[in-house]
Amino acid sequence: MCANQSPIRIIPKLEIKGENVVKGVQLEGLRIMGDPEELTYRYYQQGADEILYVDTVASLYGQDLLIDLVGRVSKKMSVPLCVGGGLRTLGEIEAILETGAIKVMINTRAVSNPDIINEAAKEFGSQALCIGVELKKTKSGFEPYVNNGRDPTGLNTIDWVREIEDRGAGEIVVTGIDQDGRARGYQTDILCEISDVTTIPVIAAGGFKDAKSIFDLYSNSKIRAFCIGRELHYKRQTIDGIKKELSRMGVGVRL
Amino acid sequence: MIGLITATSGNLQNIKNMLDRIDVKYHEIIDADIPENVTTVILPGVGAFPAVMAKLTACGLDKVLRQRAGKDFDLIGVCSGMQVLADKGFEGEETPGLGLIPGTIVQLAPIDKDQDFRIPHVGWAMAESAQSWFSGHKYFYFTHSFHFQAADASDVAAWTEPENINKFAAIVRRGRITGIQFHPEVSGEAGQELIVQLLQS
Repeated sequence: MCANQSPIRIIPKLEIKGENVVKGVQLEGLRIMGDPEELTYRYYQQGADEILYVDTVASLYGQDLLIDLVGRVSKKMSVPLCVGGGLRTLGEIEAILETGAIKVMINTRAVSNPDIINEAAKEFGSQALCIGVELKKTKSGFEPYVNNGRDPTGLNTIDWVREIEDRGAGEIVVTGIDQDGRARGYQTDILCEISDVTTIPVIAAGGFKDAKSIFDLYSNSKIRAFCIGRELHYKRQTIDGIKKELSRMGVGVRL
Repeated sequence: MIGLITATSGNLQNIKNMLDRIDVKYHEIIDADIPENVTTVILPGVGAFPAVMAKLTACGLDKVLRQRAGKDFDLIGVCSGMQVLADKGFEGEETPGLGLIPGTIVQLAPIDKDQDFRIPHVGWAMAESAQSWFSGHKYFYFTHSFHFQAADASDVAAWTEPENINKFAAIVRRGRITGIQFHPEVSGEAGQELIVQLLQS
C-alpha cells in the first residue's frame, strides 16, 4: 500500500421516518430498523467515518424530530454528520448546521430551485453542501428522480452533475435507486461515468453487498466514499469487519 | 478561563459539545471585550476567509487579537479560524489576515496534474508530527479547499499528505499561537485529546 494513500470513507446511511430508522428496497416498502440514536452509536463504535441521515418524511413532520436527533447525537458523539431530506430554505439548512451537522444534503429543492446551490455554497461554504442525485435506469441511460425516488425530473444525468459542481456544491451523493436495498452491488456504470466528469468528491450509495462491491467500484472509478444501509441495519456485517477486509484487499481504511 | 469566540460563526455547536464532553467551562466572546482572566481563546471559523475576517473586523476583534494574542492569552484557531492567523488569504479576493503566524492561505494543489485531484479535500487524513509537542501519526477529519502555507516551515507542527494532494500544514504553531486545519470537534478521541493537551499546556 502506498504510504500516503488516503483512507476511503465508509458512511452508514440512516433513512429516518418519524422516530425510526427505516429501510426498504428501491426506496419503497419501508420497514422499521430501530432507534436512530442507538444505530448511530453502534456505527460510531464500529468506526463510521461519517454518518448520513436522510429524513424520508420531513415534508410531513417538519424538522423538529430531525433537529432533536442531530442535537442529541452531536452532544454524545464526535463524528461528522451529514443531514438531508426535505430541506427547502437557507434557514432550514442553517438550523441543521447550527444543531451540529457538519454538512447538509439537498436533492429535490436543488432540482426545483438550482439557485439554492449557489446561495447555500456562498452562505455556508461549499464544504457544507452535498447534493443528492437519485438515479433510475431508463431505456436511454439514467434519469435523476426527486421526492425520495418518486418523481422523474427529465434532467440529463451528466449535465445535471456538471451543473451541481459549477454552482458550487462540495460533494455529490449518487444513489442508484434500482440497486437500493438489494445488496447486489452499487450501480457501477453510471457512478464511474459521474466520477469521470466531476472534480469534487462523489459518494456512492445504494446496493452495497460486501467489501468486494466497494473494491470493484474503488478499482474502476475515482470514488472514495461509500454509503451502506441495509447490511448494517440487519447486523449482517459491521463497519470494522468491512474495513478489515478492504485493508486486506489493499484499500486504505481508517482502522 | 477559556474564551470561545462566537462572533465569527453561528455554527459552533460541535465545538461547544466537545468542550462540554471534556468538562471545560468557557466564556463566550461576542465582541472586542476579552476579560483579563481568559488564559486561552479558541477562534473557530466556518466559511470563507474574507467572511471570517469581516466578522472579526466588524466587532473590533481583529485589533484586539493582533495586540493581545500570544501575550495576554494563548490562541487556538480552528479551520477558517486557523487560516485567518496568516498574513493574507487568497480565497475569493485577496484579504489581509491577522498576521499572527507568517504565511499565506492558498488553494490545495495536486502533486501530479494528470492524476485524479478533487477539492474540497474531504475525509480523514493522517497528521504527522513536525514539532515535538505533537505526538502525531493520528487520523483527523478534514474538509477544506485552502491551506496554510507557512513562511517559516518550523512553524508547522504537523503535516498531512493525502493521495495526490501536495503536502500541507495540518497544524501550525508559533509560541502561544496554534492553528488547526482539521475539525478536532468531529475527529473522535484523537481530536478531543489534542484539545485537552492544548488547553493544559
